[in-house]
Amino acid sequence: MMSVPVLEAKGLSKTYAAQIGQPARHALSDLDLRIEPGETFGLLGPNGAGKTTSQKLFLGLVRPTRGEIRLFGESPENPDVRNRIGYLPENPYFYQHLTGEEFLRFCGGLFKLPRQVVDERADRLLTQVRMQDARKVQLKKYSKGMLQRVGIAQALINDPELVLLDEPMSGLDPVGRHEFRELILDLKRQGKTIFFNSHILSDVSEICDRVGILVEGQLAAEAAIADLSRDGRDLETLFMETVRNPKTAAVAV
Amino acid sequence: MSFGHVLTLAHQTWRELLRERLVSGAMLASALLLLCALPLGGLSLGQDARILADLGFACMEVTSVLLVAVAGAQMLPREWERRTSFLVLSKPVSRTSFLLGKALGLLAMGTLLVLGQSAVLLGLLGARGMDPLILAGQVPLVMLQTILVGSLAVGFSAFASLPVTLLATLALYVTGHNLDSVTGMATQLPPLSKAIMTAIGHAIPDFSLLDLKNRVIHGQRLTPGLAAQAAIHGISWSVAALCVGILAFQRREA
Repeated sequence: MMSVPVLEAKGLSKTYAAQIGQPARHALSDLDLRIEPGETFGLLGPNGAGKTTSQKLFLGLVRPTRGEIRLFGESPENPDVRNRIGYLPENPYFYQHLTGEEFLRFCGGLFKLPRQVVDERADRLLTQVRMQDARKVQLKKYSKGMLQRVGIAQALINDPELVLLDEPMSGLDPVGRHEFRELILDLKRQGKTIFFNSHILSDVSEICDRVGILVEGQLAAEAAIADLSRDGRDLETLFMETVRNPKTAAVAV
Repeated sequence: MSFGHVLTLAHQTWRELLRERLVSGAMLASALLLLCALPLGGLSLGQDARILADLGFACMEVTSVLLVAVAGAQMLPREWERRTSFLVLSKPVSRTSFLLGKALGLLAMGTLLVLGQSAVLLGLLGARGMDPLILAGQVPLVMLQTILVGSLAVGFSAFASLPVTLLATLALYVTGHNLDSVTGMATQLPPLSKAIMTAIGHAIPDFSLLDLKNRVIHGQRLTPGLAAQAAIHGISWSVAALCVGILAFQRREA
């Protein structure tokens, strides 16, 4: 018997309506995707390919023009399903008036976690992302890298089964990137399902089990990292070939 | 909708407003206006307390209404612009809870501002020989005005831009205080225009029902009937404004 996929998209399309001075924009076309429990999936693509729109659709932040999404077999419109998800938005801009600690407590409150559990997790996560010393500092005084760190901490405050990360490595220095990679690998070891968008191919090939390449809103290629290695191909080659010739790229290598 | 989420978001909004300059600016403006009103009372013959009461209530109303109108109008547009709404709505929070939480935090802050100003004003007027208990009748009415203006601003901000929201809210507030003139003007118009003006009159909250300061300043107590009428009018319009906001917010996309 097949398990219920953590995330499933069928024929998912999104067109943003025309606005004054701007034509309608097809952000995503007929995306079919199935992410299994415990899998780490990387969605790659050039800027404007539809990666962020995909994540917004998965979270119910925007509604599909066509197609269907199921998270743990449920509609993303159902708020309860989001109890099982952690999300780090791209270029996180959080409530600047809050301190790092207050921010994590606020996020914990949105999951209705008991205060004691929130305090314990906030403490552990702030230590894990090396933000313990800045916990009493307001977010408006944080650097981009610090915001990214506190952003991943808030994404994990509910101990999620599925973690959605939108460009998690952007804004991080090499040390930060290394630590972030270790953190994601640790989540992977814990059996979490991870879905992330990234531009950084080396990180993706190191972390992911499977990748998809979006070009102009269409999933032009999908491949398992292990299969790529076995075939003697690397991710960069596949990415460049796909971006240059999306129509001839292999869907499911 | 979850009451827990509403409270969490209301607390966050309250804290955000407290740490912003807008609230401290409103408090400072109110204190300055009241200070200016103090010597003006002395210019009249034996009416200094009444003039102080009149000016005091007016400045209390203006500062509270402006605070909730400005803060309410920018509340939701700023959440979208800064993308903090992504963060909250990616968690198990319904859009209804989100909007109500933001509104509750704002209205609580507006109410606190009215209470703080009332305490100072009633203290000053009590010292000048007026009966603070009678004057206190106007305080809940100013609170209702503040709540109604805040609800209108949040309701509009769910689907309109900041300038449009602010303009519409303040236009309704000003027109709502002068509904008598609108309906009076309608009687002199041809039938079709009269019908349109009358319909407009019904589509605007009557703020004059929530403004009985002339009555209390002249020593007349607020009757239970007037208080109930004001409460029902203010609360039902506030609920209606928030409901429109909630409906519009359900359709909004990030």
